[in-house]
Amino acid sequence: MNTPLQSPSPASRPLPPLRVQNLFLSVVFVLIVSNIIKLNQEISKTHKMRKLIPYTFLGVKFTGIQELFTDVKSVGYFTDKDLDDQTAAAQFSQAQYVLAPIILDLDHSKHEYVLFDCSSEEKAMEKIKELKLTAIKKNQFGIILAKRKK
Amino acid sequence: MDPLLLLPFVLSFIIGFLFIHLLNPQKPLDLPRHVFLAGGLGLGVSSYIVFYTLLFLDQLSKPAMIGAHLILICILGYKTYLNPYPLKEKLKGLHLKNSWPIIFLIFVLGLMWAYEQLYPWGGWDAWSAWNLKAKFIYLGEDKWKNIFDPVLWRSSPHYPLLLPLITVWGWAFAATPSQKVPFFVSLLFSFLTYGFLFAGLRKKTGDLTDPLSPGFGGRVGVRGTIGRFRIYGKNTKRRWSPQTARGPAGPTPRSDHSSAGLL
Repeated sequence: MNTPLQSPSPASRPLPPLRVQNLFLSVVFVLIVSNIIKLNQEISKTHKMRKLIPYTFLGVKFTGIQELFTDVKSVGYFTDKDLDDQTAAAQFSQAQYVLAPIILDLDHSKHEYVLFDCSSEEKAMEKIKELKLTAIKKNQFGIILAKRKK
Repeated sequence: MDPLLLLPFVLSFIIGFLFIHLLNPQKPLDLPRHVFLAGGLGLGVSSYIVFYTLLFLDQLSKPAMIGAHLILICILGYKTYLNPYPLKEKLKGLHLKNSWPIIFLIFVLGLMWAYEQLYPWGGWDAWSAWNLKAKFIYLGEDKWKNIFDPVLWRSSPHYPLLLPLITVWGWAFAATPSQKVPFFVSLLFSFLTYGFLFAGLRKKTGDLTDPLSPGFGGRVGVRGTIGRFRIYGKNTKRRWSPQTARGPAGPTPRSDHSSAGLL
Protein backbone atom coordinates (compact mmCIF):
# COMPACT_ATOMS: atom_id res chain seq x y z
CA MET A 1 0.00 0.00 0.00
CA ASN A 2 1.23 3.47 -0.80
CA THR A 3 2.31 5.83 1.95
CA PRO A 4 0.12 8.93 2.37
CA LEU A 5 1.17 11.96 0.36
CA GLN A 6 3.05 14.63 2.25
CA SER A 7 3.16 18.27 1.24
CA PRO A 8 6.72 19.67 1.23
CA SER A 9 7.73 22.10 3.94
CA PRO A 10 8.40 25.72 2.81
CA ALA A 11 12.16 25.21 3.29
CA SER A 12 12.23 22.17 1.02
CA ARG A 13 10.10 23.70 -1.70
CA PRO A 14 11.66 23.31 -5.17
CA LEU A 15 13.16 26.23 -6.98
CA PRO A 16 10.98 27.52 -9.78
CA PRO A 17 12.08 26.33 -13.23
CA LEU A 18 13.20 29.79 -14.30
CA ARG A 19 15.61 30.08 -11.36
CA VAL A 20 17.20 26.69 -12.08
CA GLN A 21 17.58 27.63 -15.73
CA ASN A 22 19.22 30.90 -14.77
CA LEU A 23 21.54 29.05 -12.42
CA PHE A 24 22.47 26.65 -15.20
CA LEU A 25 23.02 29.50 -17.63
CA SER A 26 25.24 31.26 -15.11
CA VAL A 27 27.45 28.18 -14.71
CA VAL A 28 27.65 27.79 -18.49
CA PHE A 29 28.46 31.48 -18.83
CA VAL A 30 31.34 31.24 -16.33
CA LEU A 31 32.74 28.16 -18.10
CA ILE A 32 32.51 29.78 -21.52
CA VAL A 33 34.15 33.00 -20.33
CA SER A 34 37.04 31.09 -18.72
CA ASN A 35 37.46 29.05 -21.92
CA ILE A 36 37.40 32.22 -24.02
CA ILE A 37 40.21 33.66 -21.90
CA LYS A 38 42.26 30.47 -22.33
CA LEU A 39 41.57 30.36 -26.07
CA ASN A 40 42.52 33.99 -26.44
CA GLN A 41 45.81 33.32 -24.66
CA GLU A 42 46.44 30.37 -26.97
CA ILE A 43 45.71 32.46 -30.07
CA SER A 44 48.05 35.26 -28.91
CA LYS A 45 50.79 32.75 -28.09
CA THR A 46 50.50 31.09 -31.50
CA HIS A 47 50.45 34.50 -33.24
CA LYS A 48 53.71 35.44 -31.52
CA MET A 49 55.27 32.10 -32.46
CA ARG A 50 54.17 32.52 -36.07
CA LYS A 51 55.97 35.85 -36.27
CA LEU A 52 59.22 34.04 -35.52
CA ILE A 53 58.52 30.87 -37.50
CA PRO A 54 55.87 31.33 -40.23
CA TYR A 55 53.44 28.45 -40.77
CA THR A 56 54.23 26.43 -43.86
CA PHE A 57 52.13 23.66 -45.26
CA LEU A 58 54.78 21.13 -46.26
CA GLY A 59 52.53 19.62 -48.90
CA VAL A 60 53.03 22.77 -50.99
CA LYS A 61 56.40 21.31 -52.02
CA PHE A 62 54.53 18.69 -54.04
CA THR A 63 52.01 20.89 -55.86
CA GLY A 64 52.07 20.58 -59.62
CA ILE A 65 53.68 17.14 -59.62
CA GLN A 66 50.38 15.25 -59.95
CA GLU A 67 49.81 16.88 -63.34
CA LEU A 68 52.65 14.76 -64.72
CA PHE A 69 50.81 11.53 -63.99
CA THR A 70 48.13 10.19 -66.26
CA ASP A 71 46.25 7.08 -65.30
CA VAL A 72 48.64 6.24 -62.47
CA LYS A 73 47.20 4.61 -59.36
CA SER A 74 50.26 4.88 -57.17
CA VAL A 75 53.84 6.13 -57.21
CA GLY A 76 56.82 5.20 -55.11
CA TYR A 77 58.16 7.55 -52.46
CA PHE A 78 61.77 7.52 -51.36
CA THR A 79 63.16 9.52 -48.50
CA ASP A 80 66.38 9.28 -46.51
CA LYS A 81 64.69 11.05 -43.59
CA ASP A 82 63.46 9.22 -40.53
CA LEU A 83 59.68 8.95 -40.86
CA ASP A 84 59.38 8.58 -37.09
CA ASP A 85 60.48 12.19 -36.94
CA GLN A 86 57.40 14.41 -36.74
CA THR A 87 58.39 16.86 -39.50
CA ALA A 88 59.31 14.12 -41.97
CA ALA A 89 56.12 12.20 -41.20
CA ALA A 90 54.07 15.39 -41.60
CA GLN A 91 55.72 16.09 -44.95
CA PHE A 92 54.90 12.57 -46.17
CA SER A 93 51.26 12.83 -45.01
CA GLN A 94 50.84 16.29 -46.51
CA ALA A 95 52.41 15.12 -49.77
CA GLN A 96 49.88 12.30 -49.82
CA TYR A 97 47.10 14.83 -49.24
CA VAL A 98 48.24 17.08 -52.07
CA LEU A 99 48.76 14.21 -54.52
CA ALA A 100 45.48 12.40 -53.74
CA PRO A 101 43.95 10.36 -55.33
CA ILE A 102 47.38 9.06 -56.29
CA ILE A 103 48.76 6.74 -53.61
CA LEU A 104 52.28 7.28 -52.30
CA ASP A 105 53.96 3.98 -51.53
CA LEU A 106 57.10 3.79 -49.43
CA ASP A 107 57.89 0.45 -51.07
CA HIS A 108 59.15 2.16 -54.24
CA SER A 109 60.64 -0.92 -55.95
CA LYS A 110 57.47 -1.91 -57.82
CA HIS A 111 56.44 1.45 -59.23
CA GLU A 112 57.13 3.03 -62.58
CA TYR A 113 57.41 6.50 -61.03
CA VAL A 114 59.28 7.31 -57.82
CA LEU A 115 59.33 10.62 -55.95
CA PHE A 116 62.60 11.46 -54.19
CA ASP A 117 62.34 13.64 -51.13
CA CYS A 118 65.88 13.59 -49.75
CA SER A 119 67.90 15.74 -47.38
CA SER A 120 70.04 16.88 -50.33
CA GLU A 121 69.81 16.77 -54.09
CA GLU A 122 73.14 14.91 -54.34
CA LYS A 123 71.88 12.10 -52.15
CA ALA A 124 68.72 11.85 -54.24
CA MET A 125 70.72 11.64 -57.51
CA GLU A 126 73.01 8.99 -56.04
CA LYS A 127 70.04 6.86 -55.10
CA ILE A 128 68.45 7.38 -58.53
CA LYS A 129 71.63 6.07 -60.16
CA GLU A 130 71.80 3.16 -57.75
CA LEU A 131 68.23 2.15 -58.53
CA LYS A 132 68.83 2.65 -62.27
CA LEU A 133 66.07 5.21 -62.69
CA THR A 134 65.90 8.33 -64.86
CA ALA A 135 65.20 11.70 -63.29
CA ILE A 136 62.51 13.40 -65.34
CA LYS A 137 61.48 16.42 -63.28
CA LYS A 138 62.81 18.49 -60.41
CA ASN A 139 60.90 21.31 -58.75
CA GLN A 140 62.17 24.37 -56.83
CA PHE A 141 61.83 22.54 -53.50
CA GLY A 142 64.24 19.80 -54.50
CA ILE A 143 61.62 17.11 -55.03
CA ILE A 144 62.73 14.87 -57.88
CA LEU A 145 60.50 12.65 -59.94
CA ALA A 146 62.20 9.65 -61.52
CA LYS A 147 60.99 7.03 -63.95
CA ARG A 148 61.98 3.38 -64.19
CA LYS A 149 63.83 2.45 -67.35
CA LYS A 150 62.00 -0.09 -69.49
CA MET B 1 32.81 32.45 -48.91
CA ASP B 2 31.40 31.54 -52.31
CA PRO B 3 27.59 31.04 -51.99
CA LEU B 4 27.90 27.91 -54.13
CA LEU B 5 30.02 26.38 -51.38
CA LEU B 6 27.32 27.18 -48.81
CA LEU B 7 24.41 25.91 -50.90
CA PRO B 8 24.90 22.19 -50.07
CA PHE B 9 24.76 22.98 -46.36
CA VAL B 10 21.55 24.96 -46.82
CA LEU B 11 19.96 22.01 -48.63
CA SER B 12 21.11 19.65 -45.87
CA PHE B 13 19.66 21.93 -43.23
CA ILE B 14 16.29 22.06 -45.00
CA ILE B 15 16.21 18.25 -45.16
CA GLY B 16 17.10 17.94 -41.47
CA PHE B 17 14.57 20.57 -40.43
CA LEU B 18 11.69 19.01 -42.34
CA PHE B 19 12.68 15.51 -41.25
CA ILE B 20 12.55 16.35 -37.55
CA HIS B 21 9.34 18.27 -38.03
CA LEU B 22 7.72 15.22 -39.59
CA LEU B 23 9.08 12.69 -37.12
CA ASN B 24 6.84 13.81 -34.29
CA PRO B 25 4.51 16.56 -35.43
CA GLN B 26 2.18 16.18 -32.42
CA LYS B 27 4.92 16.92 -29.91
CA PRO B 28 7.44 19.13 -31.64
CA LEU B 29 10.81 20.13 -30.24
CA ASP B 30 11.44 23.69 -29.21
CA LEU B 31 13.07 25.78 -31.92
CA PRO B 32 16.71 25.92 -30.67
CA ARG B 33 16.90 22.14 -30.26
CA HIS B 34 15.12 21.66 -33.57
CA VAL B 35 17.54 23.95 -35.42
CA PHE B 36 20.73 22.45 -33.95
CA LEU B 37 19.53 18.89 -34.40
CA ALA B 38 18.33 19.66 -37.94
CA GLY B 39 21.81 20.84 -38.93
CA GLY B 40 23.46 17.64 -37.74
CA LEU B 41 20.76 15.31 -39.04
CA GLY B 42 20.73 17.04 -42.42
CA LEU B 43 24.48 16.58 -42.81
CA GLY B 44 24.10 12.93 -41.81
CA VAL B 45 21.37 12.36 -44.40
CA SER B 46 23.51 14.09 -47.04
CA SER B 47 26.47 11.88 -46.27
CA TYR B 48 24.22 8.82 -46.64
CA ILE B 49 23.03 10.06 -50.04
CA VAL B 50 26.64 10.55 -51.18
CA PHE B 51 27.54 7.11 -49.85
CA TYR B 52 24.70 5.40 -51.75
CA THR B 53 25.68 7.31 -54.89
CA LEU B 54 29.14 5.80 -54.55
CA LEU B 55 27.69 2.39 -53.80
CA PHE B 56 25.30 2.21 -56.75
CA LEU B 57 27.25 4.15 -59.38
CA ASP B 58 30.72 3.08 -58.21
CA GLN B 59 31.90 6.68 -58.42
CA LEU B 60 30.89 10.14 -57.36
CA SER B 61 28.16 11.62 -59.50
CA LYS B 62 27.28 15.24 -58.79
CA PRO B 63 24.00 15.21 -60.75
CA ALA B 64 22.90 12.05 -58.91
CA MET B 65 23.62 13.36 -55.42
CA ILE B 66 22.17 16.82 -56.08
CA GLY B 67 19.12 15.25 -57.72
CA ALA B 68 18.59 12.91 -54.77
CA HIS B 69 18.71 15.86 -52.38
CA LEU B 70 16.19 17.84 -54.42
CA ILE B 71 13.83 14.87 -54.68
CA LEU B 72 14.04 14.34 -50.92
CA ILE B 73 13.34 18.01 -50.25
CA CYS B 74 10.28 17.87 -52.52
CA ILE B 75 8.94 14.76 -50.75
CA LEU B 76 9.53 16.18 -47.28
CA GLY B 77 8.15 19.58 -48.31
CA TYR B 78 4.98 17.97 -49.64
CA LYS B 79 4.58 15.93 -46.44
CA THR B 80 5.08 19.09 -44.38
CA TYR B 81 2.45 20.87 -46.44
CA LEU B 82 0.00 18.09 -45.61
CA ASN B 83 0.97 18.14 -41.96
CA PRO B 84 -1.64 19.54 -39.58
CA TYR B 85 0.95 21.23 -37.36
CA PRO B 86 2.11 24.31 -39.24
CA LEU B 87 5.72 25.42 -39.14
CA LYS B 88 4.76 29.00 -38.33
CA GLU B 89 3.53 27.83 -34.90
CA LYS B 90 7.07 26.76 -34.16
CA LEU B 91 8.56 30.02 -35.32
CA LYS B 92 6.27 31.90 -32.91
CA GLY B 93 8.34 30.51 -30.06
CA LEU B 94 11.43 32.35 -31.25
CA HIS B 95 12.03 35.45 -29.17
CA LEU B 96 15.29 37.30 -28.74
CA LYS B 97 14.75 37.18 -24.97
CA ASN B 98 14.86 33.37 -25.01
CA SER B 99 17.59 33.15 -27.59
CA TRP B 100 20.36 35.40 -26.32
CA PRO B 101 22.54 32.46 -25.23
CA ILE B 102 22.46 31.17 -28.80
CA ILE B 103 23.68 34.56 -30.02
CA PHE B 104 26.45 34.27 -27.46
CA LEU B 105 27.40 30.88 -28.94
CA ILE B 106 27.67 32.54 -32.35
CA PHE B 107 30.16 34.96 -30.79
CA VAL B 108 32.17 31.95 -29.57
CA LEU B 109 32.04 30.64 -33.14
CA GLY B 110 33.85 33.84 -34.17
CA LEU B 111 36.68 32.99 -31.79
CA MET B 112 36.87 29.47 -33.17
CA TRP B 113 37.11 30.95 -36.64
CA ALA B 114 40.05 33.12 -35.48
CA TYR B 115 41.76 30.06 -34.04
CA GLU B 116 41.23 27.97 -37.17
CA GLN B 117 42.75 30.72 -39.28
CA LEU B 118 46.03 29.77 -37.65
CA TYR B 119 45.72 26.27 -39.14
CA PRO B 120 44.19 26.81 -42.58
CA TRP B 121 44.88 23.22 -43.69
CA GLY B 122 43.72 21.78 -40.40
CA GLY B 123 45.72 19.68 -37.98
CA TRP B 124 47.27 16.26 -38.35
CA ASP B 125 43.95 14.41 -38.46
CA ALA B 126 42.60 16.69 -41.18
CA TRP B 127 45.18 16.12 -43.90
CA SER B 128 46.20 12.65 -42.88
CA ALA B 129 42.72 11.16 -42.55
CA TRP B 130 39.48 13.08 -43.11
CA ASN B 131 40.26 15.54 -45.88
CA LEU B 132 42.52 13.02 -47.58
CA LYS B 133 39.61 10.58 -47.84
CA ALA B 134 37.36 13.35 -49.10
CA LYS B 135 39.84 14.19 -51.86
CA PHE B 136 40.14 10.54 -52.87
CA ILE B 137 36.36 10.27 -53.16
CA TYR B 138 35.98 13.59 -54.96
CA LEU B 139 38.84 13.22 -57.45
CA GLY B 140 39.27 9.47 -57.59
CA GLU B 141 36.36 8.72 -59.97
CA ASP B 142 36.02 4.92 -60.03
CA LYS B 143 39.30 4.59 -58.10
CA TRP B 144 37.90 6.20 -54.95
CA LYS B 145 38.14 2.80 -53.23
CA ASN B 146 41.91 3.25 -53.17
CA ILE B 147 41.38 4.94 -49.79
CA PHE B 148 41.05 1.43 -48.39
CA ASP B 149 44.41 0.34 -49.79
CA PRO B 150 46.56 -1.11 -46.98
CA VAL B 151 49.48 1.00 -48.24
CA LEU B 152 47.66 3.97 -46.76
CA TRP B 153 47.77 2.52 -43.26
CA ARG B 154 49.18 5.81 -41.94
CA SER B 155 45.94 7.49 -42.99
CA SER B 156 43.74 5.05 -41.05
CA PRO B 157 41.70 3.47 -43.89
CA HIS B 158 39.32 1.98 -41.31
CA TYR B 159 38.09 5.37 -40.06
CA PRO B 160 34.37 6.06 -40.71
CA LEU B 161 33.41 8.04 -43.78
CA LEU B 162 30.80 10.39 -42.29
CA LEU B 163 33.01 13.47 -42.12
CA PRO B 164 34.73 12.96 -45.51
CA LEU B 165 31.35 12.40 -47.18
CA ILE B 166 30.00 15.64 -45.66
CA THR B 167 33.04 17.44 -47.08
CA VAL B 168 32.48 15.82 -50.48
CA TRP B 169 28.86 16.98 -50.39
CA GLY B 170 30.15 20.48 -49.58
CA TRP B 171 32.10 20.38 -52.87
CA ALA B 172 28.98 19.38 -54.83
CA PHE B 173 28.66 22.74 -56.58
CA ALA B 174 32.38 23.53 -56.74
CA ALA B 175 34.69 22.98 -59.68
CA THR B 176 37.67 22.09 -57.47
CA PRO B 177 37.98 20.70 -53.94
CA SER B 178 38.29 24.03 -52.18
CA GLN B 179 40.04 24.08 -48.83
CA LYS B 180 37.32 26.39 -47.51
CA VAL B 181 34.80 23.55 -47.30
CA PRO B 182 36.61 21.32 -44.76
CA PHE B 183 37.37 24.49 -42.83
CA PHE B 184 33.67 25.38 -42.78
CA VAL B 185 32.63 21.80 -41.96
CA SER B 186 34.86 21.75 -38.89
CA LEU B 187 33.38 25.02 -37.65
CA LEU B 188 29.83 23.93 -38.38
CA PHE B 189 30.27 20.54 -36.75
CA SER B 190 31.60 22.07 -33.54
CA PHE B 191 28.93 24.76 -33.49
CA LEU B 192 26.06 22.31 -34.02
CA THR B 193 27.44 19.95 -31.38
CA TYR B 194 27.83 22.43 -28.57
CA GLY B 195 24.70 24.29 -29.66
CA PHE B 196 22.60 21.14 -29.43
CA LEU B 197 24.19 20.19 -26.14
CA PHE B 198 23.50 23.64 -24.78
CA ALA B 199 19.91 23.81 -26.04
CA GLY B 200 19.21 20.29 -24.76
CA LEU B 201 20.62 20.90 -21.31
CA ARG B 202 18.88 24.23 -21.02
CA LYS B 203 15.58 22.57 -21.81
CA LYS B 204 16.28 19.69 -19.44
CA THR B 205 17.02 21.95 -16.50
CA GLY B 206 13.38 22.99 -16.66
CA ASP B 207 12.31 19.35 -16.65
CA LEU B 208 14.59 18.48 -13.75
CA THR B 209 13.20 21.14 -11.46
CA ASP B 210 10.47 19.03 -9.89
CA PRO B 211 12.26 15.70 -9.61
CA LEU B 212 15.30 17.22 -7.92
CA SER B 213 13.25 18.77 -5.19
CA PRO B 214 13.23 16.82 -1.90
CA GLY B 215 9.49 16.27 -1.83
CA PHE B 216 9.07 15.30 -5.45
CA GLY B 217 7.94 11.73 -4.89
CA GLY B 218 4.71 12.56 -3.16
CA ARG B 219 3.39 15.08 -5.57
CA VAL B 220 1.30 14.61 -8.63
CA GLY B 221 2.77 15.72 -11.95
CA VAL B 222 6.36 14.63 -11.46
CA ARG B 223 8.00 14.75 -14.85
CA GLY B 224 11.39 14.25 -16.41
CA THR B 225 13.51 11.18 -16.88
CA ILE B 226 15.44 11.52 -13.63
CA GLY B 227 12.21 11.91 -11.74
CA ARG B 228 10.80 8.72 -13.18
CA PHE B 229 13.99 6.81 -12.37
CA ARG B 230 13.99 8.12 -8.83
CA ILE B 231 10.42 6.97 -8.40
CA TYR B 232 11.39 3.56 -9.78
CA GLY B 233 14.32 3.51 -7.42
CA LYS B 234 12.19 4.38 -4.41
CA ASN B 235 9.62 1.74 -5.32
CA THR B 236 12.29 -0.89 -5.80
CA LYS B 237 13.88 -0.07 -2.48
CA ARG B 238 10.54 -0.34 -0.74
CA ARG B 239 9.75 -3.65 -2.47
CA TRP B 240 13.15 -5.12 -1.72
CA SER B 241 13.48 -4.10 1.91
CA PRO B 242 14.34 -7.08 4.16
CA GLN B 243 10.76 -7.15 5.48
CA THR B 244 9.12 -7.39 2.05
CA ALA B 245 11.65 -9.68 0.41
CA ARG B 246 11.37 -12.49 2.93
CA GLY B 247 10.00 -15.90 1.98
CA PRO B 248 9.73 -17.87 -1.26
CA ALA B 249 6.84 -15.74 -2.51
CA GLY B 250 8.88 -12.54 -2.62
CA PRO B 251 8.42 -10.10 -5.46
CA THR B 252 9.93 -10.87 -8.82
CA PRO B 253 12.56 -8.29 -9.73
CA ARG B 254 11.97 -6.30 -12.87
CA SER B 255 14.97 -5.30 -14.82
CA ASP B 256 13.89 -1.68 -15.25
CA HIS B 257 13.30 -1.30 -11.51
CA SER B 258 16.63 -2.84 -10.66
CA SER B 259 18.50 -0.60 -13.05
CA ALA B 260 16.53 2.36 -11.75
CA GLY B 261 17.55 1.44 -8.23
CA LEU B 262 21.17 1.42 -9.32
CA LEU B 263 20.75 4.87 -10.75
